[in-house]
Amino acid sequence: MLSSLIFSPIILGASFFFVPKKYLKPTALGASLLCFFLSLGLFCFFDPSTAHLQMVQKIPLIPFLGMNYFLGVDGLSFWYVLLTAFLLPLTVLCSWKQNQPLYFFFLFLLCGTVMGTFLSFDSLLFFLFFDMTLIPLFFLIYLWGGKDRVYAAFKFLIYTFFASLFLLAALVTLMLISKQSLGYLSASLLDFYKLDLVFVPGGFLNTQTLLFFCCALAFAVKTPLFPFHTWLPLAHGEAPTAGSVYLAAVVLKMGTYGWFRLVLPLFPAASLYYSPVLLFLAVLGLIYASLVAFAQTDLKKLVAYSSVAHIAFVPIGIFAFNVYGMFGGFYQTLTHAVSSAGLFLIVGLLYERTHTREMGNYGGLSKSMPWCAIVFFIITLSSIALPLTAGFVSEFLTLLGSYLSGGKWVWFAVAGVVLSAVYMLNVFQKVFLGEEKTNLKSLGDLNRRELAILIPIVLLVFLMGVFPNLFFKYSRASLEQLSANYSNYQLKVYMPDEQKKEDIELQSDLSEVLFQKDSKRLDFTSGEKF
Amino acid sequence: MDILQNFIRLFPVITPGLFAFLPLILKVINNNKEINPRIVLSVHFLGILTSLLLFLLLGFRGNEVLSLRFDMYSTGACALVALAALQSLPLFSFNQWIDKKQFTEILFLFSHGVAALYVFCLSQDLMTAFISLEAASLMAYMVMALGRKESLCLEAAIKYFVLSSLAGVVFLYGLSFIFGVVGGVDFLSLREMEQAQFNRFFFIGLVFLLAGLLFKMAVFPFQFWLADVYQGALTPLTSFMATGFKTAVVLFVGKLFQLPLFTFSHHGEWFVYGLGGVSVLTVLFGSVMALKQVKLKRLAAFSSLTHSGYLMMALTGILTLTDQDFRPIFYYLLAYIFMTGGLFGAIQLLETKNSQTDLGDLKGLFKNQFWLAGGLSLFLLGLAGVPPIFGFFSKVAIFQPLILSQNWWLLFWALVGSAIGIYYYIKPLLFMLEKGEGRGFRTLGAKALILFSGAGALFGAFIFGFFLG
Repeated sequence: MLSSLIFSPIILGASFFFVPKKYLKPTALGASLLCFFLSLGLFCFFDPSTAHLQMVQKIPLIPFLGMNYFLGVDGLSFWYVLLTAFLLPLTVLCSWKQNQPLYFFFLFLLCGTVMGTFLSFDSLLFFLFFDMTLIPLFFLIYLWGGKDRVYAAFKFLIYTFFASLFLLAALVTLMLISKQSLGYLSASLLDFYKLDLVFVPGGFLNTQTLLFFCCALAFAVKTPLFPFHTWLPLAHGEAPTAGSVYLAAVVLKMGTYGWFRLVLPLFPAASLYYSPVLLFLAVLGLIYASLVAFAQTDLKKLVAYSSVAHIAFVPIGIFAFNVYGMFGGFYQTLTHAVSSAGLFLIVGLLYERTHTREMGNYGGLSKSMPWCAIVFFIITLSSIALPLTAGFVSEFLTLLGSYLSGGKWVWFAVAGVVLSAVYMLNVFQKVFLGEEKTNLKSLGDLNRRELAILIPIVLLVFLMGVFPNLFFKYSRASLEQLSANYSNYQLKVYMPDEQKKEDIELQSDLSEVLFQKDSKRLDFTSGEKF
Repeated sequence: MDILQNFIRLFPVITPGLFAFLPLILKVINNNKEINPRIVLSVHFLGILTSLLLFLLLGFRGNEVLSLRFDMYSTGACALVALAALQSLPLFSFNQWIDKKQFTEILFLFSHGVAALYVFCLSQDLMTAFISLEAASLMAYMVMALGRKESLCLEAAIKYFVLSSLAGVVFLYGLSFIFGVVGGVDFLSLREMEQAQFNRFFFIGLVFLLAGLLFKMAVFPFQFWLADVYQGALTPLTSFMATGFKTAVVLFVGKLFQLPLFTFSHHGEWFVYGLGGVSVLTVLFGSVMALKQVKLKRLAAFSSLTHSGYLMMALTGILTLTDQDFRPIFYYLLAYIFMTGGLFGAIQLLETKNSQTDLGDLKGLFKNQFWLAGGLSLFLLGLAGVPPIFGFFSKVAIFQPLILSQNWWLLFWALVGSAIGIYYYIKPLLFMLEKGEGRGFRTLGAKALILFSGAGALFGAFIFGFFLG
C-alpha cells in the first residue's frame, strides 16, 4: 500500500515518455489524480487513536549497512503524505503550457521521492529519498527556470547537498552507536529512538551535541532558518510555477518534518539546551524576512520571502516544547503549504498573462480579474492569520505555546504577524486595487482550469480555519506523545539551582539524569518562569 | 606430485595467460596475418572470466603456494581485478586509435598484465609484490606505446614509463632498508618483528615503500602524471588503470596495514596524520582540478584521483582501529569499478578517430543516444554519490571507518569533497540535455557494455551488500 504511494508516481512519470505528445497532458492529469486517490486510501486504513507506527512494511535491503526497506505512517507523516499527493494534480494543471514528457517526469519523480521521505522509517532510506529530491528539482529549475536559472539551480543544489551530507554523517554515526549499544547494525529510526546519547551541557564535543548540530544544520538549510535561507528566494524566483509550488509546499516540509521526526525524539537534551539558539535564529529570520519582503518589487520574490518568514513560526512553535506549540508548529507547516502554494499559483498565472513580475507594472487588476482578486485576498487573509482562515489557528497556537513556555520570544513573533499584514496588504493594494493600468484592461479573468486549481485551495483555507480538529484528529496522538516526552524532563536542564548544576556537571552520562521522570515537573499552565 | 598440486592451485592465476597464448599461436600459424579481432577478444574475455569464476569457486581455502596465499582478502582482490579487466577488455574492439595489425599482441600483453596483477594481489612477500607490480606496469607501458603513433600516446607512454620506473626504484629502495633491519621481506617475518627493530631505518624504509605504492595509486604529491597519462593512453587501458590497477594497489596497501608495522611504534601517529593529510589534499586537489576540465576523459581522470583520496581516507581510518574490517573498502571498490568502468566505457564509445570528447561534444546526446546518455549520467551521478545509485551506499560504507576511528577532520573534508564533486559531475549532464547533434555508436555490444555496468551501478549495492553482510 505505502510502496504504491511512492512508486506509482515514479512509474507513471516514466511512462510519459511513451505517450504521444497530443495526449501527454491529459495522461499526466489522469495519472496525478490516480496518485491522489491512492493516497486517500490512507483514510480507510489509518487509525488515528494511536501514536504507533501503522501499515508497516519491512524487508531487509542491504544487511551489510543494516538497511531495511522499512515503511510506515504515523500521525506526523499522515498529513504530509496527503499534502504531497494533493498538490500533484494542481501542479500538473498549472503547468498546462508545458509539453515535454521530461518535465512531467521530473514533477512526478519529485512527488514520489518526497512521498518516500515522509514514509520511510529507516534512516538510510529516509536519507536516500531526502537527497533524491534534489535531482528532479534541480532539473526543473535548471531547464525550465527564469533567466538566472543556472546560478539559482547550482546554488540550490550545492547548498542543500552539502548540508544534507552532514545529516548523512550523523545518521551513519547513529548506526554505529546503535550497533554498540544494541548489538546489531541497524539503520531503523525506531532503534535510534531507544538510544541514550551522552550529553554534557555547554560542552561541544559530546555525542548528542555534535549529532544535534549536524542534523540541525541539514534541516535548518532545508526549512530554511535565517542565515541559511539565501538559496530559497533565488530558487523560488527562478523556478517554474509548479517547481515553486512544490518547493514551498512540500520540499520545505521535509525540513520541518526532520525536526519532528529526527531532532526532537533523538536529541531531547540538546534540543532543550540549544533551543534558544534556534529560537533566536527563527525570530531573527521572521522579522528580517518580513522586512525584506516589504522591500521587494518582484512579486514572486516577495512571496518567497513571505514564505521564509512564515516558516519561521514552525521552530518557534516546536521549541516551545509544550503541546500548544507543537500543535501550532505542526499546523503551521500545513497552512503554510496551502497558503504559499496558493500565492505562488496566483503569481504564476499573473505572470502567464503579463510576462512581468514587477509590482510597479500592475495596478487595479480587481476590475479586469475580480475572481482572481477575491481568491488572492482570501489567501492573503490566511497568510496574515485572520480568524476563520487556516493561518489564524496555527499562528495563534504557536504564539500561545511560545507565551506559555516563558514568553521571551513571543513578542517578537507577534511583531512578525503584524509585519506580514503590512507587506501582504501592501501587495494587494498595489496589484489589485488603485487605478487600473491601460495595458492590463484586456486581461481575462480566471478560466476554468485556473478555477479548478484555486478552488480546492480556497476551500482548504476555510476548512482548516474553521474545523482544525478535523486535521488534529489524525495527528493528535503522535504530537501529544512527542510533547509529553519533553514536559517530563523540561525542568531538569533549566534548573537555576546551583546544586543541580553541579550534579549535572559531575555526571558524564547525563542522559540518566535527564530521563528521570520525577518530581518538580513544571506545569506550563501555571505561568512560572525559568 | 607437489608440482602438480601447486599447478592446480595456481590455475586461476595463470588462466588468462594460458588463454592469451591461443590467438597468438593462431596468428603465427596464419602466416602472421591478423585473425578476426572478435575471436581474439572473445578468447581473452573467456580467459579472464574463467579465472574470475575459478577464484570464486576455489579461491577462499587459505592455500599457500610459494609466496602466494589464497585467503579471503587476496582472492577477493583478485576477483575485483578480474571484474575490472572484464569491463575494460571489450572496449578494445571499439577503439579506433589502436594499431589493427598488432591487435593480438596488445591483448596478449593485456591478459598477462592482468595475471601479473593477480600475483600482486596474492603475494605475501614484498619482493614478489614488487616484481609482479612492475610486470603489470610493463604491460601498461607497452600497450600505451603500441597505440597508434599519436603523439599523445607516446607522450603518455614515456611519461608513465620514466616516472613509474622511478617509483618502482623508490619502492625497491625502501624494501632494501626493511630487509636490512628485519632480515626478510615476507609478511611472516614482518608480522613477527620485535619492538627493538622499529628503528629509524625501518621508518625510512616504510616511508619509501609507501611512497612507491602511493605513486602507483596516484595520491596527492605523486599525482602529477595522472591526467596526462590517462588522457594519452588508449581508453581501454585507461579504464583498466583507473579500476584494476588502483584496486590492486589500494588493497595491497590495506594488506600492509594489517601487519603490525604502523601500530607498534610511536611513528604510528605520524603515519595517521601523514596519510590522512595526503588523502585530504588528494581529494581537494582532484576536486578543484576537475572543476575546470573541458575534456571528459581528463575529468574522469581527476574524478578517479578524488576517489583514491576517499579510499586513502578510509584506509587511514582502518589503520588506527584494533579490529580492522576491510569490507567497506571492498564495497566501495565494487561501486567504484562499476561506475568508473562504465564511465570510461561511455567515453570510449563517444571517442572518434580524430578527437577525444569535449564536454561540448556531448550536446544532444540524450536525444540521439538515449541509452548511452542515460548510462553516462547514471555513472556520473553515482560517482557523485547521489542516491539510489551504488555510489551513495558505498559512501555510507566508507564513512564507517572514519567515524569508528573518530577521525572527524577526515570526515569533514570527505564531506567537502563530495559537495564540490556534485558540481563537476552534474556539468556533463547539462551539456547532454542541450540541443545538438550527438555522436556515438549504436551497436549491440556497446549497449550490452553500458547495460552491464549500469546494472552493476544500480543493483550492485543490494547484491553485494547481501553477500558482505
